[in-house]
Amino acid sequence: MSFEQLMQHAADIGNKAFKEGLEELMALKSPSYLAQEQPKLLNRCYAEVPGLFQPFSQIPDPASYDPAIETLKRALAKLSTGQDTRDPISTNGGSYYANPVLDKISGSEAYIESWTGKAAMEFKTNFIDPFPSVARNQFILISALKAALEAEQAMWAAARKDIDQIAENTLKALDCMDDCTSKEWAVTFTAAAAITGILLTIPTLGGSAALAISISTVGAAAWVAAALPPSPPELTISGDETNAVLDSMHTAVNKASEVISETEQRIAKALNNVLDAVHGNRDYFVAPRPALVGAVRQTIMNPEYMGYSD
Amino acid sequence: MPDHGRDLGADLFRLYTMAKTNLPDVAAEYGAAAGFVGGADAAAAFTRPAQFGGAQGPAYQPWLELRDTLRSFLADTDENLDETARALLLATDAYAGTDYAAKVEFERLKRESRVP
Repeated sequence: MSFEQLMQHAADIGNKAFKEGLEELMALKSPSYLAQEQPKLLNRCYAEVPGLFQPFSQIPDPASYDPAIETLKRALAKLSTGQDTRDPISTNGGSYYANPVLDKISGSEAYIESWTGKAAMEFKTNFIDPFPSVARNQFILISALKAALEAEQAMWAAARKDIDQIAENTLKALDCMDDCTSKEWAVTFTAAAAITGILLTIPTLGGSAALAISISTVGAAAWVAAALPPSPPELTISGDETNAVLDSMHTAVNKASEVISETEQRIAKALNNVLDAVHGNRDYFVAPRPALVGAVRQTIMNPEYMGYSD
Repeated sequence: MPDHGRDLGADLFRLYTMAKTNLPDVAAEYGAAAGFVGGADAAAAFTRPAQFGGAQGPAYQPWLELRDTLRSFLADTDENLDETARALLLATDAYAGTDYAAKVEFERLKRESRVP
């Protein structure tokens, strides 16, 4: 079975359940009860069953995250400073060659350090000196942005397998209702284990006395080796009559929705955590606007800006 | 003791180099990085039936806010580098106008260099 045929599987479940359920009703040999229950069975098999699976047939395609992930990899390549060229969260993309152009900022230090003006000295201490750390922290943020997409991608890929497994096991359970021995088919909700948390240390700015900060975020379990994902929950699909099987299927589909909701809340919480860290420590992630940009021709040589060179 | 004459000319040439190549080159990398981050469009990818946490789910808005915040950091860095470069060019011109010997040396170094 495959996810692409999910609605066909739902139709198969409905047809099979109606056939089996109708046989169960007719075996009772009560025309009045049959007349009362048959419309309910029809509704259950041909409205409720496809209605349960329909939203799952429209969940995001994991591949649809790829273009944005690839674009963020290009951003990572631009800001790879050479301090550590590996993606700090995910192994999807691996290493990025250090971008030598970025070294031109540190290389500028000797060009401006002889100038005594306040803005010139501030440009060195506020912009040039911390530049490698700020660029590194920006690299980490891009990585977190990309890892969140990979987490979403992994969650939906697992959710597709989970709902497909529910459909497959429901059909098996309907097929085996008449067997002498009762059987149960386990469904593992792998979406819960598709993502995992990771704690990142944000480097302090070069030479500053500021404290290191850390942020916790998430990534796809397959790409993040740092932590073990939670154990996925399980349910079974079983029953010795049609309505019992459909009840357990219904419970499993609801559980699949619940697992997606909980998993995505973890992703959202991690992103909010990163946002809090960024807003609370802005200087770690972007240099302040240099005072030099406020100079005009009449003021540029003042002690407030360039002063003199010695 | 402030530099003057040929020493000042050499100092100005260093500022000129920084303003014409070092800062703009890095600014261009930041401009490109900001473009990539801003161009990482996942709106369609997040779209799903409303029963799964709304039209784009609970993670899309914080993801978008982080993306836009980061894009603005990178774009600001690009702009700050370009504007600082402009200020340094202004400085080279202003100082060269105050010291003829410095200006001669500065112009000689510019001619002999490969700085654009």
